[in-house]
Amino acid sequence: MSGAATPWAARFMPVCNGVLDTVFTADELGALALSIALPPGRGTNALIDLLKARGANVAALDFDEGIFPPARADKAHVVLGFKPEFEQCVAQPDVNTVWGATLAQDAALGDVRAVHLGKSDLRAHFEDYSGAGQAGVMTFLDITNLQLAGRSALVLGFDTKARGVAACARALGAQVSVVDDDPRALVMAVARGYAAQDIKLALPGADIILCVTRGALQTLLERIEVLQPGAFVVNVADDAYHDFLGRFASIEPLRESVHACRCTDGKSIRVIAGARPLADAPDGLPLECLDVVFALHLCALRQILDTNAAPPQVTPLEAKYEKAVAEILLSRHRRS
Amino acid sequence: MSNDTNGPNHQALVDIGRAKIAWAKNHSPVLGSFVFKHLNDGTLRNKRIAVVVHLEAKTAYLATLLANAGANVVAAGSNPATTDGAVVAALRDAGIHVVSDAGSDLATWERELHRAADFEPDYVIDDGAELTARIGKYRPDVFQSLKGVSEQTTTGTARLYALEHAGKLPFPALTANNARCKHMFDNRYGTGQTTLQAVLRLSGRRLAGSKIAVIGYGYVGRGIAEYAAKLHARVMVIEVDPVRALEAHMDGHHVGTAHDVLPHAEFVITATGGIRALARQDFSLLTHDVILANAGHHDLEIDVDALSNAADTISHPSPDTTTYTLGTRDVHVLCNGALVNIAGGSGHPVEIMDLSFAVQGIGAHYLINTPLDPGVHVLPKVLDDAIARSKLESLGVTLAQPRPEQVDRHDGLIDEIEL
Repeated sequence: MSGAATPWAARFMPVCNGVLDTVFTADELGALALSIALPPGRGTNALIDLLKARGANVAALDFDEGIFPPARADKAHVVLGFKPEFEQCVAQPDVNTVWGATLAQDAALGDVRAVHLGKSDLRAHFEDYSGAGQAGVMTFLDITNLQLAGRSALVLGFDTKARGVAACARALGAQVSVVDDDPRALVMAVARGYAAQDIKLALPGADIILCVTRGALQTLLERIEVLQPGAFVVNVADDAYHDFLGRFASIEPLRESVHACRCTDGKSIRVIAGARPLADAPDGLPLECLDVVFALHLCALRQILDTNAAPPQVTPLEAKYEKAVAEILLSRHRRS
Repeated sequence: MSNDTNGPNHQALVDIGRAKIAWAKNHSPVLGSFVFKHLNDGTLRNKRIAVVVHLEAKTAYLATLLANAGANVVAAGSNPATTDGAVVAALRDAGIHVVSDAGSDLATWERELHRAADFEPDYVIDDGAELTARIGKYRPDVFQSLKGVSEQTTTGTARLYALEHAGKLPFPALTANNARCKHMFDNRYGTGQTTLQAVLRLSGRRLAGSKIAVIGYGYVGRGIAEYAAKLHARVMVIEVDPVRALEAHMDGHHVGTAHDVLPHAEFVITATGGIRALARQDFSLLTHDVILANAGHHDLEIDVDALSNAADTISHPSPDTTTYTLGTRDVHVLCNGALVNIAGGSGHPVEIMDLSFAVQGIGAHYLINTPLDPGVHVLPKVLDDAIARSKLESLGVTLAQPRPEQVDRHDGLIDEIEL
């Protein structure tokens, strides 16, 4: 990553600045030691620089190594610890010296006091709907140099992120179908103008399969024989599928980040980026989306500081903080 | 990128170029079937054809088809910023004469086009009339003997019409741009999609909720505006043609002058096909941290030289971004004002260029096989329709046929009027 990438990101992260200016006192951040675990990239670096500029003692933890045991925490989280020995403490979550953590999703963290953003509408919109939708679809187009207009795209799942992916694909001209186990989700898909189909009927007609929900890639592998030859498989989910390419009889690189994968019946499909999550690629999410999500994490930090006498627990972000972030966004919108 | 023609690095470059061309071929069903059949009727044999379009994989596939049909082909880039070194290496390895190299500056590019002129082509497949104009200036003898030109762009078409009106077009010129299978898809869907792709990738920004100004509402501007609006941007349009401005208004965009629009824009994209669409008098209207990009043919749509002269400081936050500081405001220009979707991306989608180059390939075949008067011509509708039919067939789309009773021949009206 170039050294200029971080200042570039900071230009487009005014909401974090606004939160730091309005929610924290000048001395408060200087008294803290923060450990940050976020996907590495220019946005995360810009956040660290913002905090350091306000005197905070910030250390970036190794995101890829994992901070909490995998069964006990969601991957997409930021951890803000207030003891120099934070990293050792979270390795033993029963040690009661950890003050707090902020999480993207609800998770059990034992003795860690935590605030989660899982119920935050703003986070869901900016990170899952708008952010992942744009990042996932645009990255597919960047990799392939193909068009979506006129293509048949199948979205596996219809959660918030899948809705964002479906909306972006349709905006670029794809004919979008949706598959989801939950009939309520499919009803919502139909109401938004998508074709809702049974997976057995949908897969054979799809040019592009956008796997969004957890387990979608496994579902796809179990039905790989019905895919049309040359179909594209794209992972826009949160989760990587370990050695997805290794599940095929043979693979052949076609161009950078595209493999032709031969199935046991001799048919080839095309897998994008080895089925690694596209929206989670370094610098994947747009900067404005990272700005809002990081601002919410900073608000969660505020909430932890305000409840430091409470027993260890996991609580959602209070609505007043979401409103504060929304007000900052709106004030910028109105100014322009 | 290395132009070394020996050793393992060169072979690796050739392999990369081949893979890129193969990808283009695999997604170009119209070129691979309909156009292939036309070109291989023997009439291209030994014809000298210059292909001067952005020199990347899709163009390389067209050049390869022409060469395989027996034509003697020279390939050159239509813009020094858009030539792909790997593709050049692969073309040369396949025995096609290429006069351009990646990374050329403007002076080198001029020399490359002069070398293409010295090839003394019979026919030119041109982009922006770049080679045609240079042949006229540099090799008037070749200009007089040219048998035909097929032109890709709005800009080049305007140049050819200007030459015709001035009585300086001594050969037939086909405006591929005016074929429906070209401008309705290439300009609108191709440039629209890939311009936004490149701008978002290079800037790392989010489109939804942003304010984007599009200067020019031809097919290119329309495509950018349409996709941006569908991706939830607020679109503002600056247009001097009253009909196009009205169309932009009816399409739901805010239409206004530079003074109305620019002070609100976070992104400004030029798409006029002309020059200085964004010039000195506009700079004071730009907001801090605005991102400027060009989607039109000319590198001169954004007056980068004037911006450079007006700037207090100039910096480069990334290889594709130049920041001009004007007092308290920073203005960021992508790809130095060159076509952002090609200089900063991979160019048009392959499927779109399948259509555009089908028009160019069929156009070249038409020029070779049809006696035409000097002047600007449009590809006959029957050929335009045939290209579209071929594309529909490749997509598995069945075309409806009109029933006889649907046709109103106005017999009654005609019978009732006697003169």
